[in-house]
Parts: sequence; C-alpha cells; structure tokens
Amino acid sequence: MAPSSPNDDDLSARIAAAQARQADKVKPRANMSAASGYGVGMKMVLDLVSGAVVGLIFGLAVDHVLGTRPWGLIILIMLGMAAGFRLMLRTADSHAKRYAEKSNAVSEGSDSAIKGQEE
Amino acid sequence: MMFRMDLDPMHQFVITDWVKMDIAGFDISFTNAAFFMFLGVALIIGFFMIATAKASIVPSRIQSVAETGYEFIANMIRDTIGEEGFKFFPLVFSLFMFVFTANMLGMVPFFFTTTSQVIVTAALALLVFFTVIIYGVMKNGLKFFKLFAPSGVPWPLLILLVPLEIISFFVRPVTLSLRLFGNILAGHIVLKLFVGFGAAMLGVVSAGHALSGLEWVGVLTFWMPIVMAIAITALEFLVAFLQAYIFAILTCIYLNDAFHPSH
Repeated sequence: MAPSSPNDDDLSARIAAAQARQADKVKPRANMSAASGYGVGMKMVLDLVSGAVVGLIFGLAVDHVLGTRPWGLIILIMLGMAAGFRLMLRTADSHAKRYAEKSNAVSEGSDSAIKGQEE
Repeated sequence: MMFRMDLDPMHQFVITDWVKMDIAGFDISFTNAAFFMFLGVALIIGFFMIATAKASIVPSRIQSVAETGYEFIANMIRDTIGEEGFKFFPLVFSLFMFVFTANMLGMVPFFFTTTSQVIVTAALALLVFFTVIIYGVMKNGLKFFKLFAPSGVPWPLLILLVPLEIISFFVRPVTLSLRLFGNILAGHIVLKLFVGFGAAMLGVVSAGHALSGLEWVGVLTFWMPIVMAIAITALEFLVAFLQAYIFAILTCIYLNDAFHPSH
C-alpha cells in the first residue's frame, strides 16, 4: 500500500504533463489545416454559388405554389444572392480573425526568428 | 475522329444494373454503386471487428489505428460542440468512415467511386440537415428558431436579416453535398483525362500506317501526361482524406447549432 501511493501521484502528474504537451502540439495543427488558403477559397465560391441556387429553387417553388410568376423568383433569387454574399463575407471575416490570432500568437512568442519569417 | 469509349473521362461514372429488381414500379436494381457502398460498409465493419476483437491495454498495431480514428473524431466533437456532443459521436464517426472509405475505394483502379454521385452526397448531407432540425427542435423547442434571428439587432433590420438567415440555413446541405461531390468528380475526371491523353498519344502506333513527324512527337512523349497523372494520384489520396475530414467537421459545426442555437 505504502509504496503504491507515491507511484500513483507520480503517474497522474506524468499523465497531466503528457496531456499538456499533447494539447500544445495538437492545437496549432488543427488551426492550420482549417485555414488552408485553397480550402477557404473553395468554401467562398461554394457559398456564393449555392446561395443563388437555393434562391432559385425557392423562387421557382414559391411561384409554382402561389402562382406569382415571376415575382417570387425575382425576389428570392436576389435574397439568395444576398445570403450567399453574407455567408462569403462571414467566411472571410472568420478567416481574417483566425489569421490575426495566429500572427499575434507568433509575435508574442519568444522565438523571434519565426516572427521575422512571418512578416 | 472516332471517340473511343475507353478514353471517355465520364464513362467511369456510369451506373450499371447488376441485378434487376423492382418493387411496386420502383426501380431498386442492385447497381455497381450499391455494390461499392456495401463493400465500403463491409470493409469498415470488418476492420473494426478485427481491430477490437482482442482489445488490450497495450494496443496491437491494428487496434491502435482504430483508436487513432476514434480519438480523431472524439477530439473534433470536443473542440466544436463540447462534451454534450458525444451523443452524436456514432453519427459523425459513421459519416467520416463511410466517406473516407468510399473515397479511398474510388482510388483503386477500375473501382466505382460512390461519392462521385451527387445523389449519394446529397443523401448524406440531408441526413445531417434533418438531424440538426429535428434534434434542435426537440432539445430547444421554439428557441431553436432564434438561430434565424441574430441577437442584438434592431427589429427593422430583422425583417431583412431573417429571410437571409433562413436561406443561409438551407444553403448548408447544398454546399456540404456539392463540396464532396465536386472535389471527387473533378479529381477523377482530371486523372482519367491525363491517363487517356497518354494512351491516345501511344495509340497512334496501332493505326498501322507510317507515322508522320507530329505523330512521332506524340509517341515519344507519351510518358509526360502519365507522370502528371502519377502526381495527381498522390494529390487525390490527400483530397480523399481531406474531404472526409471536412465533411465530418462541418457536420460537427452544424450539429453545434442544434445544441446552441443563439449565436
């Protein structure tokens, strides 16, 4: 009994230390992969296009049900494009925010060599 | 000029009936797409049955691969939704494994790629979409519809913003399905085009007549598009994983709205 308890303390301390190390390692990688330029570009194009597509489908559906051709289509396709734009801008915003966070984190760090490369 | 079917880049996406079946006028034939979906599911089940058969604290190689996959999705859910999101771990994990396996099976030559069919990806995306709506309403009741009304906005603006938010919500299954479908479809077309181009350049030899100067150039440089195709194959393996990852993480982000509708 007596020898096991210091061992347990040691083990849980080691687990905590390992988890902290792991957390440091995992976090920046997740950020990087989510923010790859190609991925963000693709997402923005898709936002823009599918906003208009959904507006088109809704417009046609409303016109078909209510018989208001062509007004439902005109209004909803414009709303759809606006929604697509909003989504695109939101993506751009979150990307810019993430980028700012990343460069802040780098400049606050003690490693000035990385900072020099970043700028 | 004759158009050869074996060089046609779109021919790989043709669905063929293997076993003809129909119930009450509905065509439910067993197709090549159905077969490769079943194959993917069978591979996943088989893999995890072998991996977890002899579970030990010090994992064997195959068990540690399975555990890595579990940790990967578990961390994804923890980061995007939080601990409460583990209710949906089976859904996210199944979606990720299915998309990943389907994409990887598509990389095997002569295999059919199920995720290159927009109906498959749309079905998966709609599953996520309706899960979010149904669970969101079940958990939050009418508060779920706060999702469409951003907080801290004066009411005249809401008249304009609410329709935009509703349309944005319906855009989600469209982007979710089109992203996966588009990436896989485009990748396979490009791959087939490059290989087909190389084959067509070499194929002049079989025509049986004396080669002209330009045809000689083609025959001698046939390997160029093939080298390109090899590079694209490597890229496609990356895309196969990346698209499965993106599908899973977007599922998590959308499910997060069902848990926390006011943003």
